[in-house]
This record gives sequence, structure tokens and C-alpha cells, in this order.
Amino acid sequence: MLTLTREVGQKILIGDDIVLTVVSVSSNGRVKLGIEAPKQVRIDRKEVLDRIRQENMDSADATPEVKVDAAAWASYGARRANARAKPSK
Amino acid sequence: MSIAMPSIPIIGMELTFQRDMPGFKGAQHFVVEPLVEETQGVFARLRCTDTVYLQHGETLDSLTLLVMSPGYLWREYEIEINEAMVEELGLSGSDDVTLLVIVHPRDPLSASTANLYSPIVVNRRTGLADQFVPSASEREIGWGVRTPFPLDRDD
Repeated sequence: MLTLTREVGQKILIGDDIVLTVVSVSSNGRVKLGIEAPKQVRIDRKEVLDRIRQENMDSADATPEVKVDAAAWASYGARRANARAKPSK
Repeated sequence: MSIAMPSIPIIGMELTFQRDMPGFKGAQHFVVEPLVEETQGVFARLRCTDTVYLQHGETLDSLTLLVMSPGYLWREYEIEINEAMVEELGLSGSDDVTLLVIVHPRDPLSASTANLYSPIVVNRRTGLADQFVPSASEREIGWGVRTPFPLDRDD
């Protein structure tokens, strides 16, 4: 991993068109970064993407069982949707 | 009097994701299929038609997820998607949008959860789609990655 030391207000250029700016550093260790990048570049918080990735994989792992119980799922869905249609049953 | 069978409005549609579905390399083309042959309903299968790899490189034999329209169980559900996604999917208004959420099936079925934090946003006119990755936290958004199915008096 490349490690660079920067001060508040200084920038790092990644490729031709991505600019990272150190906006501020607080006493409790929080660093605020500014990112300028072309619209097509995705910028995600890594821990958020990791959590979604893991949940997608866990959900896919649990889904083959649904095939066996497709009828049960379908009737559960119909019952819940109908309960919704007349909430004061 | 008849009660209309509720249905996901885009059954049969082919979806093209703008980037891989998180967790699955190469997963960009999907078909929305009915859960039970020839019937429509609250739940549907989202089946990937691409060759899919996991992060470490092994191939997945198949990728199918259980999805639903969130409005059937969470009437008050709404989420604000960002401008980048609106542009990328070519959305011109909320009429263009169908939301699907991925269900994590559990036993019993009423103990299942759904990912309301990160819905799949579909342009129902074009089939362009993507899973929304918020920049705010679950607490800020108000919907979790594992939102439990609301209880029902028959559960």
C-alpha cells in the first residue's frame, strides 16, 4: 500500500481526474476527505458495500430452499397482501 | 367481488444492472420470474443469466434471489435515491421506478428479513437497474439491511 503524508488542504491526484482533498482532521481522529471524480466513478463507503455484499451472499445461500416451498411462499404473500387490503379484519 | 391478486409489476422483465450486483462478479443481467409457475404474487425470483464469480474467483453454479415489492409489507416504505443513480438509470419521474428488495428467507418464513436499506431500483420502461448503495448509515436511512417482516396476527 502506498502511504502519503498530507496536510489539511493538500490534495492527491489519482489518475487524471480524481482529486482527493484533506478537508479537516479533528482531535478525535476523524478525517474529512473531499472527493472530486467523474460522475461514472462510484464512491462508496467500504464497510457499507461490504455489508450489502455479505447480505446478498447470505440471502442467495438461503434461497434454494424457497424453491421447495414456493407454494408456501406464494400463499404467505397472498395472505399478507390481502390482510393489507383490508386492515380492519 | 374479487380481490385482485397482488403482483410485482415487472414479472417477466429482463433487467440490466449498471454494475455487478455486490458480492457477485459478472452479475449484471437478470430475469424477474414468478415464484410459482404462471401465477403472479408478492414474491418473485430474480434469476441471473450471466456466469457469476465469487470474490475469490470460484464460479457460482447459479444465482437466484427471492425479491418482493416492499410496499406490500411496509406500506410507509420510501427511500431517497441519489442524483447519480437517477441519471444513470435515465429516470424522469417516480412513475418510471419499480423497487424490489432482496429477501433473506428464514425458517419459519415469517421470521425472514428483507434488505430495505439497499433496494434494487429498476427503470420499468427500459429495464436498466442497479442495487442502491446509500452513503448514509442504516440508522440515518431508517431501514436496515435485515429488516424483519412485520408481524401479522396469524403468524
